[in-house]
Amino acid sequence: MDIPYTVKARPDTGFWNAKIAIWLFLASEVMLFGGLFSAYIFLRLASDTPWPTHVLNVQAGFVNTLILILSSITVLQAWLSLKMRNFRRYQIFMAATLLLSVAFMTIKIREYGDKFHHYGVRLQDGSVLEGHLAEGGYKIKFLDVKTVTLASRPNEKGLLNFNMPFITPGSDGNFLGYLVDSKPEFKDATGKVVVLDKATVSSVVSEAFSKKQPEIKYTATAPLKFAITPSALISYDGTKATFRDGTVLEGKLEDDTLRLEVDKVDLRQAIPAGEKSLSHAYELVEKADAWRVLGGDWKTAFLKQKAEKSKSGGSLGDTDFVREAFTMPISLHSEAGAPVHEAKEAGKAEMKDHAEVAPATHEEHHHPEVAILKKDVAFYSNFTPKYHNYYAIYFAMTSLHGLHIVGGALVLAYFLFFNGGLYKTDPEHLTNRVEVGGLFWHFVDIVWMIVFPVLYLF
Amino acid sequence: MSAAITHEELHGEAHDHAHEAHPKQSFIYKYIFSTDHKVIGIQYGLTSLVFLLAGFFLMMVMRWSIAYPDKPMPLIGAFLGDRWAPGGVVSPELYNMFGAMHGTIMVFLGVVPLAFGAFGNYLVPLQIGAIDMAFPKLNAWSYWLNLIGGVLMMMSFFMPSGAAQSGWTNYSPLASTTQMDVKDVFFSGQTQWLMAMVFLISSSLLGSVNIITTIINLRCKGMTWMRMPFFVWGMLVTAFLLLLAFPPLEVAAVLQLFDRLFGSSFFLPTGLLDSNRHLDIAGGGSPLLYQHLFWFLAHPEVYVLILPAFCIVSDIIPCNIRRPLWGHKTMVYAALVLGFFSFIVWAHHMYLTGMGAVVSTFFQITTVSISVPSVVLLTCLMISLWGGSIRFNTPMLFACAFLPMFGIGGLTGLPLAFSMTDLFLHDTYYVIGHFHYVVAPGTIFALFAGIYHWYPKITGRFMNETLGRLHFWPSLICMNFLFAPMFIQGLAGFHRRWYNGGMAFEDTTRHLLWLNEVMSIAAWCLALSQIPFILNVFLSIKGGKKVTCDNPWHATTLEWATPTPPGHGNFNFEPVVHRGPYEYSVPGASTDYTPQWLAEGEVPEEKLTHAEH
Amino acid sequence: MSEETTTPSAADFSKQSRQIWLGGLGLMIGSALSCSIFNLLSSTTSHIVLGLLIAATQVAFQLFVFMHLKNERGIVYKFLVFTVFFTFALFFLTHLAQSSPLHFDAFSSK
Repeated sequence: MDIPYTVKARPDTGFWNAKIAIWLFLASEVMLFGGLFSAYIFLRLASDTPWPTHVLNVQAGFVNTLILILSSITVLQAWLSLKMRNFRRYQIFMAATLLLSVAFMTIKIREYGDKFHHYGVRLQDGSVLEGHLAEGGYKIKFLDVKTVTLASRPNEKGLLNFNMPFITPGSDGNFLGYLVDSKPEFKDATGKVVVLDKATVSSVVSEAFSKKQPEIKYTATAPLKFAITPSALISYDGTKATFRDGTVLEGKLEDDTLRLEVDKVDLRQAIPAGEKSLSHAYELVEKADAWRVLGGDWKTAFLKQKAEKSKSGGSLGDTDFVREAFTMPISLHSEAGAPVHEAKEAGKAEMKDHAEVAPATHEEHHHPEVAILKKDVAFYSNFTPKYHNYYAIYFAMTSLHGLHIVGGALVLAYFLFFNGGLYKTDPEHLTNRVEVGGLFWHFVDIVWMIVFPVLYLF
Repeated sequence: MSAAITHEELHGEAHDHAHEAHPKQSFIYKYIFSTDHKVIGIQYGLTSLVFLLAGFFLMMVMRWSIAYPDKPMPLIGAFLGDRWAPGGVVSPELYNMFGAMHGTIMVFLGVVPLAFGAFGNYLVPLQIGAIDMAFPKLNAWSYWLNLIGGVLMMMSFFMPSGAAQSGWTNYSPLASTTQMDVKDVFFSGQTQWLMAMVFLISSSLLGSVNIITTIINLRCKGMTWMRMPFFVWGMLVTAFLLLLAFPPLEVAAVLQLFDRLFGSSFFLPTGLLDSNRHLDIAGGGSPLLYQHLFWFLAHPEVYVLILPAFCIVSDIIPCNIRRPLWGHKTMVYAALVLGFFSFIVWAHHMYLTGMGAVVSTFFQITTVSISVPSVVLLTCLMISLWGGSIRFNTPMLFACAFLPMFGIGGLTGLPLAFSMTDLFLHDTYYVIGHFHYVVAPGTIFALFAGIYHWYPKITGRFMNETLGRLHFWPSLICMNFLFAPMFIQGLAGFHRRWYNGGMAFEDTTRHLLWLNEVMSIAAWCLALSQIPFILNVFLSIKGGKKVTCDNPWHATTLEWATPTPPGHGNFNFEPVVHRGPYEYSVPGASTDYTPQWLAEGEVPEEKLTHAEH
Repeated sequence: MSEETTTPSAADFSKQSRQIWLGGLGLMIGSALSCSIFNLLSSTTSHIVLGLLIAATQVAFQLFVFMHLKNERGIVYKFLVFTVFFTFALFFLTHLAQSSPLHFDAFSSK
């Protein structure tokens, strides 16, 4: 049985099936992205911290916009070529479209990459230091670890006691990966010496699991040293570290200081909401925790910037003014203590920092390295969704948009590489397919045309 | 006109293909990975009936905990495991988990797939005289995505954390912050709920695009818009609701996934505490945002639950009273208005969030307005009954019971539409009673009616009438004993999420606690009264009374013009529609029904045909 | 463009092709414009309004010309109108953000 109107339009409605379907699908997509934009506005208006603006790399965004517009031209040309029944021309333009989509994704991925390496640390009073983690990243270091307790968590299981290996709740031996220069040699409860590896851990844990024995204790033959990534831990204190999988190390906390190469200080969150007086706000931020961490020289530089800024006037109601007045780039390159950029350019420097300075910092040390004690840190994160809802919605929107690009490109690639046969038997059908694929592609472009100004420019 | 030409072309082609393609079709492709809308409809139907049963089972366990808190549950308690039901006593966590999953399974995996997936798929192409859906492969994908979503949802029971426990609405911040202390947050019930939801949303998106395209483009010759039965109209509106309302939920699900997996705080406000400890989040989000996005879907979803029920009933009633449907056009317009309004009433679920008087007023007005088209639909069906010679077979019994039951559900909704009364009734058993009256004895009765009504077309045999009555009467009685007391308890302030049914607040609840036992016993009896139905469905396949003609109920719509059961390609002749869908007892006609497909002056003949391939 | 009653000539095609290039160029200029106004204008509100206007024009052009919505029959418009209406209904909820009682000033800075 063949379905009618797959190729020829139905006379009274004027549509072939797939065209109705794609418009319906796009209607649904409008609601999807409409929901996201509505969430964006909602979050921006309801935000109780300064909304980061102009922090993305506009050049990259603009280039991507051009790439997408170009690809919508090429996809239209490909469709037109099919209507002309010029298959060669179609192939060229379709291939160009695919290449452009690859270029778009490459730029996108590079933009993402920067954000994973750039960190923001919020101190207890709300002042924020931004920069890159010093060599080696942030590690919680434990010394003298003598006891390791593996957990089997026999009580944490699903409804019917099914034992599915990939979701067994107990220790998986990942803690061994954080061991520094020593051999994981342990004595178990019976005094037998074992060298633990992942396989041993999982067999020991699953045995304990079936015996409903909640924990297995091991004593190290020699004191061990660990340097642990914080995300692997649920909690830790001076003597104990608990991993997500339930494994507990007992030893001595050596160091949990966060070392950061600071490239910017942002004091806006140190000003209480509702503060009206600019001079009072300056008084407050002069006492900010940031200066304790950074040192007096930078405070002097900030006061110099303040003096310049206050000449131009401005109020706490003006977000652009506040951004420029209460943030300051930090770089060792300029004369000691002076801000690199003219104060009025501070806002734009904010954006450039991410793009240009990011890769270079580690080798050349443009920025002062500071040590921030754990007790001073209220919150820290790289510029991923966790850092701020702005980054969260940025990642949500652009990753969903990226998924659409990938999906659309796969469909177009299918038309290009696997539908040559269809062209020979029914060129009209292939033309229709490409038209539908093209409509989707244009829609993805439309979304980007709104995403770009909203996220990059506003 | 030219539609006919296309059909002829089509038939020419079809014959060439038929001979080479069909004999090769293996069992797997014919019945499992089939692209035939009827097979997919049946697959949807069977799967969703299984899920309905599973959701019902969860509810029975919950009802034990409500009626007999802290007492070991007989038989089933032992299987629930030590962690969740120590010594067979249903724990509060288990109650929460089953509560959340009962709602989720019933709505997203039970009623919607049965009403829209099964009935929509099976009947819409038949009623508009199409040979299949516009996109058979997408249709199959829609079913398989639905199944994947369902399986993921069920798998979450076996995750280390157990399944989702934050109610079927999955409100943040609770849903974003619970079950986070597990080894792998991805494999927690709460996260899997969201993953499963993404699959279900994709499935319904494909389904709705398909149904709308089919209705717009594959209507047979002569099937003008107003000659379409109300069933098709209702499905069209339902499909639009699914198409446009689900994406915001997808947004909510994706953002909540971000909150859970990547630590963002879309729905988490600044300063959020968990057991007196500041959470490691940036803050600045809004729990209200989640509720808005969720209810933007979930209110239209209510009409997705109820419109297919109206569709089914509006087909069964005219057929069994031998009169035209009263006000077919009125009903169509009412359904369209209902669909439109359903998008702008969502915040009446959120009066208690204190949205402010202006916003509340707007949503109170729209909410009260939407009751008008609902009443129009119900009234048309009621008036249709007047003066008819009613044939009380089992489908008609269920269809008739639907009317007052839905009426009760609808009228009890009015106090909830007003902010002032809703503040008191919010989250009490009154709400539970209200929407269960709409969905359980309302929609589910209509779905039962549909199954009894179209079973002869699907299998070629009738379902047993005695078993049918054994199913209907106990179900009707139990449903009312189960849901009516909820209104009384709700007005007394019983909260819907008490795992012990109010035992903890004995001072104030004492005088109504006995109702818990009444309702629980009614629930278990309701379970027992489904046994005749299950037996009936399976035994009638082989043992039911055989139909003697293609149109055993003497109905007028196109699905009865097909052979019994309809084969691949549906019709043995090219259907052409000559009149409206409800031409019963036309004065001067030789029979009391004049089917849509008969040309002027033709007499309907009673014959049994078989599919050509 | 489903109603191709007469077969278009090669000249028609090259004209169409040229129009597509020109249209694309227009879109690019639009994007360049919205980038530059953000450098030129000092007020946030005015560049948001202008930027949105440019974006809306670009979207309309894409929809009606590149996606040739202008050549489609009425039925598409019927459901797109509802879609646009409901999308705006969705945006209505941002109005509620300002009156959100869950937005406590007390937490906003410590």
